[in-house]
Amino acid sequence: MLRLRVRLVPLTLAGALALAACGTRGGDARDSDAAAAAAANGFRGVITAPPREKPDFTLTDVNGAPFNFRQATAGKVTLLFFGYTHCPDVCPLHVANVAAVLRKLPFEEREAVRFVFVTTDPARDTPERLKEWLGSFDPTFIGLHGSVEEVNRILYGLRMPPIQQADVPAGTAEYEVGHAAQVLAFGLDGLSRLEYPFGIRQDDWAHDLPKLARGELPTGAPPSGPGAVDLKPLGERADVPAVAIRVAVALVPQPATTTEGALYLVLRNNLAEDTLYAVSSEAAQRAEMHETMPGDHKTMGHMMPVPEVVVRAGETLQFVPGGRHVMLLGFSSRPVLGESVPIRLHFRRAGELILAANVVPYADLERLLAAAAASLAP
Amino acid sequence: MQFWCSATTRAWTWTWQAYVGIWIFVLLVAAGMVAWNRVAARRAGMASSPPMHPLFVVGLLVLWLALDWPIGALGAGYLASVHMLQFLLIGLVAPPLLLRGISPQAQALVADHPLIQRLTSPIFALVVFNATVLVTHLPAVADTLMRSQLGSMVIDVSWLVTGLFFWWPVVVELPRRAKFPPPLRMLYLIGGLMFSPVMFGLAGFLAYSETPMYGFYELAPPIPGISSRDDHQAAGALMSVGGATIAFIAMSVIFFRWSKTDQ
Repeated sequence: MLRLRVRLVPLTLAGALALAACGTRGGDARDSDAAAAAAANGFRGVITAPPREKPDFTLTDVNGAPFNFRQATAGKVTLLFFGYTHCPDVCPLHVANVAAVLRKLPFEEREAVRFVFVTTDPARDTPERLKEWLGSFDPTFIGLHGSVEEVNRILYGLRMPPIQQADVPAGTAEYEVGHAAQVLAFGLDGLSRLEYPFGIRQDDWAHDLPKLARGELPTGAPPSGPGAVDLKPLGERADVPAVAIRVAVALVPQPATTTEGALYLVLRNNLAEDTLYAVSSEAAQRAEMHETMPGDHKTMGHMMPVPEVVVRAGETLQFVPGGRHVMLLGFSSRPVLGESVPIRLHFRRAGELILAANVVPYADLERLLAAAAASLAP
Repeated sequence: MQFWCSATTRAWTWTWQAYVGIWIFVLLVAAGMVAWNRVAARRAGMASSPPMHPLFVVGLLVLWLALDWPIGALGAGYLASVHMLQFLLIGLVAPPLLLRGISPQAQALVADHPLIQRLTSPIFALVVFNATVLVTHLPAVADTLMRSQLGSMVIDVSWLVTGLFFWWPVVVELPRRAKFPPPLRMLYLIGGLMFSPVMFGLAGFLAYSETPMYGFYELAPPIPGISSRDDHQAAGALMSVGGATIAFIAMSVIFFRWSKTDQ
């Protein structure tokens, strides 16, 4: 027995050490990303560049009263989420996780935070339904109701994708609604510098919310200036700067295989409204514009094809991880770091823009995209 | 149709799903045991192998129940508490029942092999079982493996295999081998299961951690009415109470058999 006990000691110690090392969090790949992000800016959320201003809109709350978002949430940390109560995955998880963390915060920090849920499914999400559903998580959560057009206007102003819903036959009760999967966090100053995509865990909220409630801001502002961007025009039409559409950056994170990769870019439309209706590349068999959506239950980060993207005059369009992006399918050879991938952007008005997307490490992607976006900021 | 239950991003539905790999695996376990007993009987000069012990069939059913839909699917992708129930069934309930299916001739066939002796020696079996329980429940490991069918299968099979090692010294009695007397068996179960620091440590972390331990359960499509926190707490309670209960039942059986023998 003594031998047995002696041999159990290392096992016990190993167990305790292993558990102490892992703490109370899961260890998926996203954790390391979040940790890296936290190390970079002090927060686990994803930095939004440029910051979003708190929108000024009025919708109807769950009691049927008008609710002016900007006025009613002034001076509070405000988490804004667009979703719907019949959502099978992303919405209840975000709401439940925020509610669970808020319950554990001290009164002062909890009081400094408002959670606002704007329905993207006004047909089914009546004020009564919203009240009951949100109340099951946290009765202080604010539910807002407006028409699809009203909500889309708000989304547009926030540079977020509009509500996407397939045609549903009349009387159909079960259907899904495509919507942005991130929670926007507006700080005490009314600016949203951080957003929280799907995959953010309670531990992340517990890390960030108290800091936001204390008025802390992400440190390490994204690098600015065009120096961080290396745009290589190609071919005869190396005239990108001269045309209405200015592409600040086009990046391909180094793909693991030749099967598929993603293209991210930041561009600005300096003249009249235009439409990006296709993307192509000589280096890949197909290029498709996609939007990350909660989708049809098949994948959590469901990608919905986007047939075209309207870019209004003066608008900066960003294809970024977790949002709009271009899938490059079937590379002829695997792009490696330092190379560039030829890309053609097809606009209805501006015509075809030919550019080179630099192949970069995934770790540098956000920094470069943020720098590019900052370089385009008015 | 899938091969094995694994974490999924689909919302939970009570619609039956087929998992072919699980059926094949359970059939292989059954066929393997029958073949092993037959070979052993033939080598022992018996005309036919003895009939299969009914507890083996129960063990096989328990194994199938734990792996297949709905327990397997719920445990692999939605609820940590059901995952823990799976662990109890696969690692602690099925193995002693399955071991009852090994005929004395089949036991004798392998018992003298040095590898089997090493694998089933109490200290080794206890350490390997507890180490496997610990490693397969580490968030980093579980969050990674449970996302794939192969990874999920590795976890399930590792529980079963190390569970068989763990229970072997308790269940299998070989006349030629040094006896593992009942009091020691009971102590073995107390130290290795009832008050196992690994089981208790994991259960404590699950039940009392501020935030959910496992990312794939926290971010799994929610099942209405069950919060991630409640689910993790239930998993922790199940692990400590379930493990202790199984150990207590096994110790009771050992004790009553021992007292009967003494009488």
